[in-house]
Amino acid sequence: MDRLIALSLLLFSCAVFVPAERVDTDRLVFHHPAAGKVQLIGDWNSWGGVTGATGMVDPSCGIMENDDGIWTASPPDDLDRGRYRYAFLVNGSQYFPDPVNPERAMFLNHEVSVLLID
Amino acid sequence: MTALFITLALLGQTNPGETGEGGLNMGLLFHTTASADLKVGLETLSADTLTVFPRGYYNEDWVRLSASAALSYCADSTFSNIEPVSAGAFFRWPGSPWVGTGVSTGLVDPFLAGFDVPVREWQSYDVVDSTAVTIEAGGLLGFRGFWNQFGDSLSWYGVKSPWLGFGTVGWNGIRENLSELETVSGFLDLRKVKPWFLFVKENSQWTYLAEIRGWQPLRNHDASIEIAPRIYFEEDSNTVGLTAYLHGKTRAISGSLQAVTDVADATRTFLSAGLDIYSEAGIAWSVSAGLDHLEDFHSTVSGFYRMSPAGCGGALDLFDDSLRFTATALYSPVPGVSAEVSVMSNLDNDSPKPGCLLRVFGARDDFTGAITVEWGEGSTTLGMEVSAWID
Repeated sequence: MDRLIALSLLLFSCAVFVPAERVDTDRLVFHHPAAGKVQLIGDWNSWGGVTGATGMVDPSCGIMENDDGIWTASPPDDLDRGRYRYAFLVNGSQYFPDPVNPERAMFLNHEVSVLLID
Repeated sequence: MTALFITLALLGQTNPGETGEGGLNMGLLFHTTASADLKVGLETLSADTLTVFPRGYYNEDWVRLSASAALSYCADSTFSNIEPVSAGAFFRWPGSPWVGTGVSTGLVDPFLAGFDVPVREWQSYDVVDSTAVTIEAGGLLGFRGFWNQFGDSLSWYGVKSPWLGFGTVGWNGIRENLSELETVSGFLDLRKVKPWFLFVKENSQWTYLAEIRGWQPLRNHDASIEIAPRIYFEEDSNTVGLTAYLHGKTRAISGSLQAVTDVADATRTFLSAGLDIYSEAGIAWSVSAGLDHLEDFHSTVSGFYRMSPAGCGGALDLFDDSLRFTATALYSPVPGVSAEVSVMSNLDNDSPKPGCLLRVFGARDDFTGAITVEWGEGSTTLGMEVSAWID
């Protein structure tokens, strides 16, 4: 039992020395000068809250920066490597896939994009 | 020893809705909808829903606390009492980002990612008992694991490897009563190509999905074409697919061309193509077409000029023998405010089913509001929606 506890402490202590995995991702850009508001939502942020307990899009979630109609935002930089669906939510109601990303998928009957983080 | 390794394999699921901001954050999430039947009159205007979510969370390196409640009203009921919607407390081992434990309700939802279709979509499970106990652990050679237990009937668990220098792999599973679902997924980085794989075991039946990404036989300064072969093996059918992706580098253009077929049944062949172009004139063009089972053809062509303060566009949707037309005009007098009117109709003399949709939208900081008027099929409906995050 003592050996088990000692080994547990040793192995847990490894956590201090093994660096966390972090992946930098590029900024996503969407051009829509007529939009009043654009949010970047996806699998990583509960689709703005739609898949969460409230079932509604949080108006403060994933807000993209607007520079003369060019909306930009980045996915979280600590996402694990993998595949994530995402979309640009315009004016709180219209889902747009990323027009410069040819890989598409579906979410709630909306065409959305797929981000590969490798 | 087995118990030790199982313990080390546990890793809590971070709540995807959290913002990750440190310190204490509190506020109200406000959402209301109302509607009226304008055929009858504005006196029919009534609130459909009115929901206020008091919400607060506290994040530090070693602890994460979250709580939200709801005060809601529905048109056919009276105000209800404040009910807890979600709450949770999660603690991490000081000095380690991988070891922790917590308990929550309404914060964690089982989900298993796939390639373009998830193995299990969000909210696939009717979590009777949404109270989850979460344990996470990691650090042993960089491996991390998690276990979420919902009541006594649903478990969601997994282990993920670190970046191994040449690839990564993860194992995930969901067990509900006697139903068991497990996946093994990841990819390898072989410099020129990156094979992705996904193995799914559901109730003792395996399916295998693999795709090679990163192969770009055509590549120049302006664009590249990536060829992605895919295979899908399951017990009663084997499917192969080939997709060509067009990535623009100096121009806003993207496209795909895909063919998927069942090797044992050629009638189960699916063809699809899509092209998106954002022209220098500011017009977003989108063309897509598909042929399912080599019989059912569907296509969409659209072009939108979304400039400020005004824009317009149109779309044609062809599905089987039905052709539907949509024309849209946009107007944005000031930043944050836009109006959009769409007129749609089937281009079919027997059943044109014309309709019209007007939507006025306003947004400022964490406030959004919309008014919608919809005409069609003998009814005219007015809808209103307001959402706000109030600090």
